[in-house]
Amino acid sequence: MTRFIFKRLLVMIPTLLVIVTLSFFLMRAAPGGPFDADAQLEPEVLENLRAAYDLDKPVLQQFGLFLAGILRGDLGPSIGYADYSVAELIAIGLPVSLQLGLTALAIAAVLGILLGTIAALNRNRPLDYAIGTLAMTGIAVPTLITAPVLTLLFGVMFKLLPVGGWGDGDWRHMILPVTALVLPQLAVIARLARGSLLEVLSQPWVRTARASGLPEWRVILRHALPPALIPLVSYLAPAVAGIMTGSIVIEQIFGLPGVGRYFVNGALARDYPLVMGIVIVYAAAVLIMNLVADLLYGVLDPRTRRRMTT
Amino acid sequence: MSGEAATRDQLVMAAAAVRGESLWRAAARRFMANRSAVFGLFLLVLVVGFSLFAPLLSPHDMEETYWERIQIGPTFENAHWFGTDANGRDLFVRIAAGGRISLAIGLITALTSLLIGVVYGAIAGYVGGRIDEWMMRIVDVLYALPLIFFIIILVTVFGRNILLVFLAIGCIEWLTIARIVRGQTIAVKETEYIEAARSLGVPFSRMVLRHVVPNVLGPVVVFSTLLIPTVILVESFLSFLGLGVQEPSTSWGLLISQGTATLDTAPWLLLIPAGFLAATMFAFNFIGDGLRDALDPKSR
Repeated sequence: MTRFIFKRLLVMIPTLLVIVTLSFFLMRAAPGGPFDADAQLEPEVLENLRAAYDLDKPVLQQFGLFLAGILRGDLGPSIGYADYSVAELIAIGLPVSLQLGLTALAIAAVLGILLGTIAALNRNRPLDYAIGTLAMTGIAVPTLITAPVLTLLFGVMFKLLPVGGWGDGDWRHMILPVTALVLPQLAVIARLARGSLLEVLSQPWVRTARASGLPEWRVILRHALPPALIPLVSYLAPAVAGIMTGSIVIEQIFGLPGVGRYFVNGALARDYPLVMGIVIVYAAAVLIMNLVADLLYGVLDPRTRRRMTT
Repeated sequence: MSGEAATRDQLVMAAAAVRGESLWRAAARRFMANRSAVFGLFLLVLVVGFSLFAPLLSPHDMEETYWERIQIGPTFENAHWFGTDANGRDLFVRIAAGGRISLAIGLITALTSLLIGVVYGAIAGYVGGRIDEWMMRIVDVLYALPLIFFIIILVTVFGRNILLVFLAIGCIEWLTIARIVRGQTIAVKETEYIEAARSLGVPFSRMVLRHVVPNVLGPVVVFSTLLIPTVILVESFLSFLGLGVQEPSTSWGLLISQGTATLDTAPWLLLIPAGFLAATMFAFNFIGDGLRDALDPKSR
């Protein structure tokens, strides 16, 4: 087991390196630089500014300096947000994105499993079709549409909720963005849960449980649902990392100070260190959550454990 | 009694007819019997038809600005059936123009990734061994790329050249197809007809393209119908963030973004393009689900 974890962690390093290298050189290949927006800088001032951020050095040397910085755990200063380091900006943005995303994912998981179970138990009956239609809607209609339409309905027309802003994490400010994030996740989870539960319900041990005279709710809760939820782990763990991207649009629409906004602004302003810092954090999060998913899978499903010892 | 006999005869005849059907014709029959799939197809034809032909119906040009008619709601007066936007341009023709771009981008990008993915996966699966292992390791590494972050970086690199950007997205989206095709190829490789072709001395490229690829297409077709809406969404998403299609041309994502900016004063500018995008998403999802049910070997 430890060997398995160790091996997987070791494979992560070259993967991260490829990602970092690709994004670094792509960013540098982009036309324009971070100081284009400042109208008419004196050539000497520009030169000094470029020197301050090491931009006057050859690209390969910049890359070396950057890698050395990462090894020291230093992501460098942001260019666009003067006086802030990249680490500080991520420390400001990440809690917002995480609070938003984790709340959404938790709600989506609970409701999704509930709806998926109801649908599976009413297979091919009206309730199943109703939930299926709901799930199809959630998958087909993107947050790009739900977010502004929800704002229009509850913010502008009924004036029940604030239209945007973070309000220091006040729950009223969270309702609309979280709802918009929940819908697509809820739909996917409900579908997965339904399919998985249907498969388990046809297994011999469920028949045995029923034959031994257990009440139906006990068969479902104790014998069918736990194994049916295992496949969800491999969806949910990477989704924790995925919500960071999911919330880019949400953060833009509702004007929330999350990581996604910093990333988009950073890319537009050629804020190289900021963009690179967010890419690294995100890629590492994805890789680690994938590993967590595999490990949890092993803990929950003993049949897959042998795979890990090799 | 006679009714029962008649049904039995019908069943026998139906069974005989099925036996003579090719895989694709049987799939087409199953697809056409699926109500939501046919509805999806119908919806898609409507949306595509609108995007192609709507400008012919309207007297307006997509770039023409009417300063005296800014942000008026949908009306028959002056033939502004969907109203005008914040610059006084007719929304009806702009939605059609945006639709052409969104749909074209979806199609081009999906085809690009399809081409790369099918060839790559088929070669990896067919050759096998160490080469397969390395080819798939590359796919694994690329999978870990934070896709949307990467696309945003690519967009800043290629700037305004939207076609290049979407070719680039196509170059990233092929990964899943490559995996599917590789798995299928490995299964097909062991069949007798491949062995027969090999014993006849069919060259490698012909082997892959003529004998392997056509037999692994089923799941690929399903995946591509779901890939097109994904790409359209990525485009809308980029345009929404101001990174995609630029004025004066437009796309649904850009129209939704502009509609969001004026949602308190002119909600139709948000709701109409959002409706078109949602309809397209539904259409492709229904078609994709229908195709999956029609082509799934387990359902046969």
